[in-house]
Amino acid sequence: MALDEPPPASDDESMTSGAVPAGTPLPAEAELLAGAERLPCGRPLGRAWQQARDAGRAPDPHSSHCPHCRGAIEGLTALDRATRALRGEEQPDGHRLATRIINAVRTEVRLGPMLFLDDPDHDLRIAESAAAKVLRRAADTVPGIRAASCRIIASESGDATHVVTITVAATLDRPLRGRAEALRGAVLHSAEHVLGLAVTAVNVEINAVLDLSPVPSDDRFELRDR
Amino acid sequence: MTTAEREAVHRTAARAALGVPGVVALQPALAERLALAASRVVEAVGAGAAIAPVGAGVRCEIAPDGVWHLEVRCILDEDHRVVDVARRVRSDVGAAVDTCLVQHDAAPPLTVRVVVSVTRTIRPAACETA
Repeated sequence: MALDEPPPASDDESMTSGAVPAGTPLPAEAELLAGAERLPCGRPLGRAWQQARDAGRAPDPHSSHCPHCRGAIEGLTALDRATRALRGEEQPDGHRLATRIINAVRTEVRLGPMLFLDDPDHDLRIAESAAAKVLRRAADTVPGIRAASCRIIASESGDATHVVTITVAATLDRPLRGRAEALRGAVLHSAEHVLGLAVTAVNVEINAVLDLSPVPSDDRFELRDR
Repeated sequence: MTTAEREAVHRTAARAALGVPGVVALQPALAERLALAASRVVEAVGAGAAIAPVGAGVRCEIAPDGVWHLEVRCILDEDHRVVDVARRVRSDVGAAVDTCLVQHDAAPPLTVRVVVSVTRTIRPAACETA
């Protein structure tokens, strides 16, 4: 029911009794809809709402300046808008609802474990997915290397240090050992200077050969955006 | 802890975190995201009012010993060093919540512990769409 619609008949006396002082009668409709609750400024909530809704009446100096009345009116306006929107909908769309819920859960799951940043109090954390993205990007800056995946595991010592395992594709135009060292350097630098994450070891796995031909610009964008 | 105190702490912590340079947004927790997903009302309200409740992205609990535990989930601008921004969030949120609790005459001891969780880093160009 929208707020400016007639209320359903009710026998509940408690809704209309008690809080309204004698001599200041409220419109019964507003009282039923918004309640006789008093705002901190002393004005009944129903009266504030009625005042705001009645466009033909002269502006009320109190409502226009009182933060309590303004806040209440804004909240009721939003509730009214939402109620109208719900009422205007046809049949509930279960598929869309399910999709939204699945997406919300997926987003949470994709975060992965939380890793402690390099701080002695151990109360600053970063999601593994967020840290891995930064380290993969660092790996991509090494010529002839393209990162495929990155896992970051907390050390068993419990001292907020981590071991990184990064899997890459590499070109074969230079010795792989040198490439791996450059990759380690890039990852360690990024872990310290971009993240502030303590990394004690970087394991490098090369599981594919990277073609020497130039990567199309669209593909480069996709790789960079992981 | 009264509802008013909890809401005030949520709002205060969220504002303090969002005021730290490098913080782009706060990321709602799963329960908040599910509530948003399940609620058509929020979409309607979002057409002209607040899109998400103020304080989404802040979790607040009070331990039996009176210590306030807050978790702030942040999305950061990747141009800032993550640990530096997280430290600043911890410091600013802790100070702001301390002040807030004093103003609300919360029962002592007023010990606040803030955990900062960084869920994403994004490019500055993408900040406006976060």
